[in-house]
Amino acid sequence: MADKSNIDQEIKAIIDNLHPLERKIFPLLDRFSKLEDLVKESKLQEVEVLRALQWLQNKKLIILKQDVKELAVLGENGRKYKENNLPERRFLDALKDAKEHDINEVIDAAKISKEESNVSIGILKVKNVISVRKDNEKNVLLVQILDAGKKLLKEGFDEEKLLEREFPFEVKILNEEEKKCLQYLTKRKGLVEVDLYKIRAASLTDLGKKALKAGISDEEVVDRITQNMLKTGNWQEKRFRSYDIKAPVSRVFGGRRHFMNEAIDYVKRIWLDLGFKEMKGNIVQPSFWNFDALFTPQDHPAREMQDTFFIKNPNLADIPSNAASKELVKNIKETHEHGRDTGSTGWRYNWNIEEARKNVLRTHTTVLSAQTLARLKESDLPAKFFSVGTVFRNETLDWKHLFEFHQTDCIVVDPNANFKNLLGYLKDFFKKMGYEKVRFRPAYFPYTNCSTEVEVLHPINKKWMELGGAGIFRSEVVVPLLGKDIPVLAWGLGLERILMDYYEFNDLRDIYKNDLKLIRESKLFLR
Amino acid sequence: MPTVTLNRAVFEKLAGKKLTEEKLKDRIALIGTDLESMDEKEIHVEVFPNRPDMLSEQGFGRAFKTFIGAAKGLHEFKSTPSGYKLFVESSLPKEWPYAVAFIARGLKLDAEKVREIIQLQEKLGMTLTRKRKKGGIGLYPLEKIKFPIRFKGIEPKKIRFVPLGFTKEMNALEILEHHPKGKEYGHICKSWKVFSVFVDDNNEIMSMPPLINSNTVGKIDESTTELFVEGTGPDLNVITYAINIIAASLYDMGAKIDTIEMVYDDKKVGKDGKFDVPDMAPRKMKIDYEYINRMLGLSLGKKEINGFLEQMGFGIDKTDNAAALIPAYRADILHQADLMEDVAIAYGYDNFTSEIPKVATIAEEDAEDNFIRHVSDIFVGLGFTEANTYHISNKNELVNKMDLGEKDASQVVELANALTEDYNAIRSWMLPNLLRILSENKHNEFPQNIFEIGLVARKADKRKEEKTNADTINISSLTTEETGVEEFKRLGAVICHNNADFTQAKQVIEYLLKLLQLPNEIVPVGHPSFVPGRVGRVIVKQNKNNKEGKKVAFIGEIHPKVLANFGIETPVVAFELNVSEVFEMLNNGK
Repeated sequence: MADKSNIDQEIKAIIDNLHPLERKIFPLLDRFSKLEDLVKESKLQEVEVLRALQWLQNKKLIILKQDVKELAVLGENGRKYKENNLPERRFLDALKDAKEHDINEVIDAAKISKEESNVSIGILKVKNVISVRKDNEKNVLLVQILDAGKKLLKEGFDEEKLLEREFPFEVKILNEEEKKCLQYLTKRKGLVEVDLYKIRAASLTDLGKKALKAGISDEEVVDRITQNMLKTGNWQEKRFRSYDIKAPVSRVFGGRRHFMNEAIDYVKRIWLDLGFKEMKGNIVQPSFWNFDALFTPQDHPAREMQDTFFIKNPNLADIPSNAASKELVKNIKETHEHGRDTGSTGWRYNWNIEEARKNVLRTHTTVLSAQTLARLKESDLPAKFFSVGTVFRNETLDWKHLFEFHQTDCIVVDPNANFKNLLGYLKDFFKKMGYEKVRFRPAYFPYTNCSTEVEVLHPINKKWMELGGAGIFRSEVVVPLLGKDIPVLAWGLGLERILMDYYEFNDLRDIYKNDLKLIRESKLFLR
Repeated sequence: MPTVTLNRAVFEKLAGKKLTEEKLKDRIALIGTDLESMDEKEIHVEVFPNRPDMLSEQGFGRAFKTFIGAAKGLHEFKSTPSGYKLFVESSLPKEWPYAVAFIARGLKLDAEKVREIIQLQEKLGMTLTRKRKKGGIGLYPLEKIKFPIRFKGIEPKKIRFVPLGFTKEMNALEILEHHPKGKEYGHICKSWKVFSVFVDDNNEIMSMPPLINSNTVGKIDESTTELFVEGTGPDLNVITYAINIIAASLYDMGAKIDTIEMVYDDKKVGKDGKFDVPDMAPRKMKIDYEYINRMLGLSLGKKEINGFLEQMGFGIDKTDNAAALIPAYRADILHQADLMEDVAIAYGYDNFTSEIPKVATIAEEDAEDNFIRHVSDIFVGLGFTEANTYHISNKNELVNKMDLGEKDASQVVELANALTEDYNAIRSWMLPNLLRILSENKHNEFPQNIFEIGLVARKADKRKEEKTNADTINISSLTTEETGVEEFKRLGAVICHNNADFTQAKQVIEYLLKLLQLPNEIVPVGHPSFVPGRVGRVIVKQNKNNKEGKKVAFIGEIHPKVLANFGIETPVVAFELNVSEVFEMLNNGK
């Protein structure tokens, strides 16, 4: 009993779930099974009926079958001959007196066309039921019926018998001889054709039979809630159809930011939360700002063609471009050459303005830090700045090298800042990026002291990943730009490796592939 | 950064103490070198370019020995005068006027030692002397040379000797043309009027720096026991460091070092043109204890700081106890801060606590960036997918494929040293990159509505005639003025599907400008990238006084010819908006 009531429940749920189209079609299925009948009976569109049948099948109420049938269909001439007899019958009828006739008289008597007479003569000769001879004197053809012809007239033509059937009919009901005959008829113009028909039919499953027995109520069920129903309130008299909420739906995609930019926004958020101000600037920079202002000697390998992109035209920057920058250029030249008032020996070489004029694509966003220092007044201190931007290196594109990528650079300009603060800011940043363990190894950059490479421990594979460089700006950088030797903590971190790790890319180039599916479906950057 | 291969046995003997594998790895990393790999026989390390003195087993071992506490303070070095002279003549090319040299005796060379010496010479050449541009280093078997030696300038045609590895005598020009080293480094000296050569007292040409030694007298091998070592170049400071580093290494290898007296006939250096090489007397630098503590956030006593400096191989001046003695091979100590850095390394980067100071500063996002984020959100709301493409593109795509003409081509900022044709110019507008994306995404679902806001660059029409004479530096306007390249933020947007038409693009841009409260109109214009009659310019009329209005965008249906150039088979409508301009208008309107 328990089982039965379960099944009843199940059937009830199924019936409640039926779509209005299904409700129209399903009750018809105990009387009809063929698609065309269902279409005729339900007065729905064929596609609607098909859709309903498909859904019913999904609910295991019916099984849909599809048969291909060969149907013999009557053509235009076929219909005519069915009514008025075949031309060969009429031809032979006109000869039944057994005399020899002039062919033209026969045609007139049989009321057939010249063309039909030719066909008829052909057929009758093959069947060997007439004789034809030519009268050379009168120049006419003479025809006469043979005994076999008389017999044929009495017994009737096979073709006639076939035509007498009700069309259309399935070819498969014919015996072999009749099939031959049918094939013969299909060769004649407009008589009979054999067409392939797909016939779809539905048959009820056991579950379907039970459901049908349980009965589909005539009560109107509501599919969509309409404005009208809500306005008039007549929804109250209606019952809402249950949906199959487990049924798969087609995918949609919404608008989406690029995942790199989502990550950049997140990085910016971290620095803003820590009280940093944003720095912006150009991507094309004079070497003066990109290198010289950062105490990078003019023969440093980073300034060579194979490391840095130079600009073809305009290849040289206009430096110094005004009085203030003239003073700055002089100070930086002297700092490179002998240290000037920075307490340094300098690099001890002859600094060349032409080298500083070369336009380059910035190789690091640290160039913005240098420019910020040059703009800063002592009254603005303490101050903290960050930038996130694209930087460029002359690399051949491959799975682990890009010629442009993103860096985030920061400076903390504070008379009281120290090395421990530098480590503090970096640890905090990486913690917010999802890396709990950070380590610092000594390193070298021309523009920093206490230079360090920053590494984070990958939480899963437990390997150290190098993510950037940091240090305290050298006095040779700070004094010419700021006019005073004040501690400036500085760091520059790459973003692509973090992203590669987060999105589990194996190829750096995937970040900038702009595959729309990848962007639309990538997980959100959430840390 | 140069990688050196260290013989592990030699290194460990020099380091004076055997460490466990783990400890060794850890210490190598924390002295400031990158450990690449290590096995029983060899250690491969990357040495930072500021420490050329660590490019040999001897140098690395010397630094390591004090770092791990097997020794402390200044490393021993002794030399005796040889009594020999090297005459440095004013006839030398002005590009290559300096020479320093010394003698190393009593070397028991074997294959391993020869490898060590050659590696040091090569690595110094790559780093400190910048691939010979800043100096050359030469080694010779002493027994084949007769003192005194002269370093002088001779016309290239008159220089004839058998270069190393050859059997035939050649003149200098032939060496430049045929000898592998001549081909590799000839660019350094080929424009000089005279070339520099070492000539000994037998009038034998010993070498032609910075290219090649003589095969006759300038070739060392395992039978060599006594070396003549010279450094030459345009920068006395650099070659002195190079020679000091080699002298210290040979000394640690067991050689006895004899000094040679340099005699410069123009008397421009030394005392009356004379000085002894190598001069291994340490340089003195006052230690600023307060500075070091303040910068590191520590409160170390003088003794502690002195101890850390000694751990890094510095001496402490006994007389006033407040000056560091800097070894003559340390090229990296320019400033007090470099002492501070070595104190920090000895203290151990991993021993520092980290702290964020409680300093109140006010955060501020770049206003234009903030604006751009809002605009991006609007586009995402309209169902657009954001792209992120490279700034570096190519002229063919920026101009030719877009069916643009000469004028636009002339504004494109090209790279001087592009590696490939595909990436040879900075994008001058956004749409070409977006069309490329469409061409690469034909397999993905439509509609493909994409936008990107990014930086584009163009040659500035004309550099400003009038220079600002302000006495403060306003970098933001200055950079463009200096470089001659204008940069703007642009928004490119494409709508691509089978029924894409002008209306849809117009709806989007009008919606955006409506939210920005910028009254606008679209006027017909001609633009070769778009279908004629279906392209317009968006003009914003911010206030009634400004009747002209500002042209802020192009909008239109992309020309089928352009689509064909990109291989796109679905209609595209697009617009490109000058975001920087719009932002400026909004700010001025305030």
